[in-house]
Order: sequence, then C-alpha cells, then structure tokens
Amino acid sequence: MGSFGLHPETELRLEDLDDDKLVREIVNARRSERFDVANKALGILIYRRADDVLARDLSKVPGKDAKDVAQESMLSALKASFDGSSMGQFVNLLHKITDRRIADYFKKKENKPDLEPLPDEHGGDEEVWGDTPSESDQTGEVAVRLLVEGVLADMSKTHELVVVLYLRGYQAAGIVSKVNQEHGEQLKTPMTEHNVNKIVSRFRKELRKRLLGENGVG
Amino acid sequence: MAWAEMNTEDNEPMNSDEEGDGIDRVGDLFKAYIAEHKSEGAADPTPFLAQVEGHDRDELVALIDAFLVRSPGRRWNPEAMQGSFAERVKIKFEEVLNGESGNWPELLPSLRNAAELPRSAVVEKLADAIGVAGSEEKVARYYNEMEHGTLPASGVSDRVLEALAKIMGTTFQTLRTAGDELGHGRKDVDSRMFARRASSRDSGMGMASPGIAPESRMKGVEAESDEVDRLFTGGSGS
Repeated sequence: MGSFGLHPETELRLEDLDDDKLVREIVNARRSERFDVANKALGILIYRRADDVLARDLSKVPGKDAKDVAQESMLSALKASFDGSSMGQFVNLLHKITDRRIADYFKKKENKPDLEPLPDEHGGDEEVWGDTPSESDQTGEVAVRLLVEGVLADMSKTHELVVVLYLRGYQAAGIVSKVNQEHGEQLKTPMTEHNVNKIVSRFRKELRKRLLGENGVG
Repeated sequence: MAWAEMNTEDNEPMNSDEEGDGIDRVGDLFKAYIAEHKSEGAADPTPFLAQVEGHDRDELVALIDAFLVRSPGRRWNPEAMQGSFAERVKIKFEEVLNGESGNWPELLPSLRNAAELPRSAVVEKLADAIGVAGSEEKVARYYNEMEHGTLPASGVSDRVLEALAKIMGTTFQTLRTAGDELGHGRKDVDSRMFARRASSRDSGMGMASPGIAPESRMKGVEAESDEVDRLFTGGSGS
C-alpha cells in the first residue's frame, strides 16, 4: 500500500496529474467521499508548489515574515480553486496571489513601524530558510514577475522562446538544440550558441533597465 | 506574432560591444541556484542573493523569480513532506476545508499578524471587550478553536465578532462571512449548540487539531456552562 494507504497505482496516477487535474480530483473525491484519494491529491499539490512559493517570498520579504506570507498565498489560491471563485490554471493563480501578498506586505510595512518580533508569533518556527534581506532591499515592492513578462512580451517569438528556455535552466547548447529541432525550418539561419548568448544578454540588459526605472534609482 | 513573421535579423552575430568583460557574477549565481534547485527539488535563494548587492541583487531576484514561476514544482516525496512547510500549509488548509469555522483558520492569524498582536493580547482585549474579564483562560481556549477551525462558526455570538473585529482592525461582517466559507461543518451546527459533539467529524482527511481536544473541552462545557460558553456557542444573538 502507498503512503496514504492507497493502492500504489492510484498514487502513481495522482502523482502524474497536473495541478488543475489534481484540483478536480480532490473536489470529485470529496464529493464521492473518497477522502483517502482527496487527502493524497491535496498533499501532492501542496508539496509540489509550497517551497517555490516560499522561495519567491524569501527573495523579497524578510525571513521572519516570508513563511507567513507564503502560507497566506497558498491558502488563498487553494481556497479560490476549491470554492469555485477562480477558474483556470492553479499555478498562474498561485503566482498572481503571491505577487499580491508580497505587495500587500510592503504596503502594510509603509504604514507601520517595524516592531520587534512577537515571541509567540514565530516561536519554534525553525523551518524558515535564509536570513533577513538587507534594509535597503527594495525589489520586494516591485512585481518583478510582471517586469520579466513585460520584457518577454516585447521580444520576437524566437527570442522569447530562447529566453524562456534560459529561465527554465537550459544551457545554451540545449537551447540551440531545442530551437533548431522544433522551429529550425522557420529560421533563415540556424540558431547558434553565440546567438543565444546575445539574446539572453539583451534580455538581461533590458530587464535591468526596467528594474532600475521601477525602483527609481540608478 | 506567427513564427513566419519572426525577425530573423536578430540571429546575426553579436556586436563586440555587447560582449561585456567576461565576468558575469549574476549569471553564474543564477546558474548555481538552478543547479541546486534541480538537485534538491527546491532551494533557498537567500545565500545566493547575499553574494551580490544593489542592482546586481535586483537582477538576480528577478531571474530567480522568473525561474521559480516556471518551475514544474517538487516531485512527491512523502518522507520529505513530514515536518515541512508544505505539511504546515496542508494542515492549515484542512482546518479551513474540514473545520467548523469556515475561513477563520486562515483569516484570524492573518489579521492578528497584520495587527502585530500576540494571541495572548487578543485574548486579553477580547475578554475585556465582551465583559468576561477574569475568564481569559476559557476565552483563550475558544479563540484557539476559532483559529484551528474546531469551533462552529454559527455558535459564536455577534458580540464576540464585533469585539474581535475592532481588535483586529476589520469589520464584523468580514468575520461573520468568513465563518460561512468553505467548511462543511456548518450544516448541522445548530443541533450542537451547548451540546457539542465529543469527537471531531470523521472526514478521513483531517489531522488532529493542535487545539484543545474536543473531549476535554466538552467536560468543561457540560460541567460549568457560563457566560463565556454562551457567547462562543450560543449563536449569533447570544
């Protein structure tokens, strides 16, 4: 039997479902009172996404608060998906809500002095990764995700694809291979690693320029 | 833009002035972060961000963020789930989903954190506001149940919610509406006023609440029903 007492085949089937199918599986399983399936699917969905949301918060929000902000984001996205108030891709909703929660956090901070941590607010909470970002850090006030998407939107489709693959962690050689294999016939000349480096370099320069503009410095 | 319309001139060789000086600290850190993330399934960005400052740091934040929103997420690992941040989120969501208190398990801690009030301060102010000063211990038990989704929302009086709303900086209606959301425990709650069930609903999904065990709370309620019990379990008009 699997970790939740399910048949291993059922567990494997759930693990292979994408986020939105998992949400549907949870809703349907609860309706049919298959709570073992619902429990497993919920665990898979949350485990899949929670640490990336936490990591997004940790790069912008002080460590002592990042976990609370991340938890609020996760709960809001789950709730919206389960109560039917939001349809569509769970992961997109989750990242939009994460952006909003981070922005809310900084708005609240603008209106209030940063008080000493409350002893019973974070007591025993040893799982928060990382240290507090420096006081001068302002990037949390900017929806950096939207800036990146804005730069991508202004690029040609080929360049956008190159940059998206770069942002997914592909090396230059892998990007060249993928672009030429899948779209080579539509290019006048084949993509090269040199081209890839150039495109990524231009993307990063434009991103940096927009970041400087947004933060009002530089 | 269709593929056929792509601007192919961008595939021309890079100009020499775009080459840079060969040192790309941000790019190297970004690659190192991705490598750790792919190896571990997740990665804390702060040690990487700590190695750069100013505009370099801003750029690295943006690149890591762009990577994370495209991440396929972690592959299921039941052992790693235990004691993780994800498990904490799951427990909290189950309190919302399966509990008796609607969305209070999410909303109340969030409001309390925003107001920067420890639970003890909320309890003290609440006991005073609803006129039961001296019964803070009992109020604390009930408030704890509200945060953990084990107190039927419809049993909580308007007086309690009005007081809580003022303490937390929100409105009575926000709290009342939140109590109605999601949780399926409300449908038979009226029959349980002053006769709260001794065991939690057997949903098969929920984990044990970290709050007071219903059994031990019930003994207190049955033995000595008082003004505090009435305010937290007697219904909206209590």
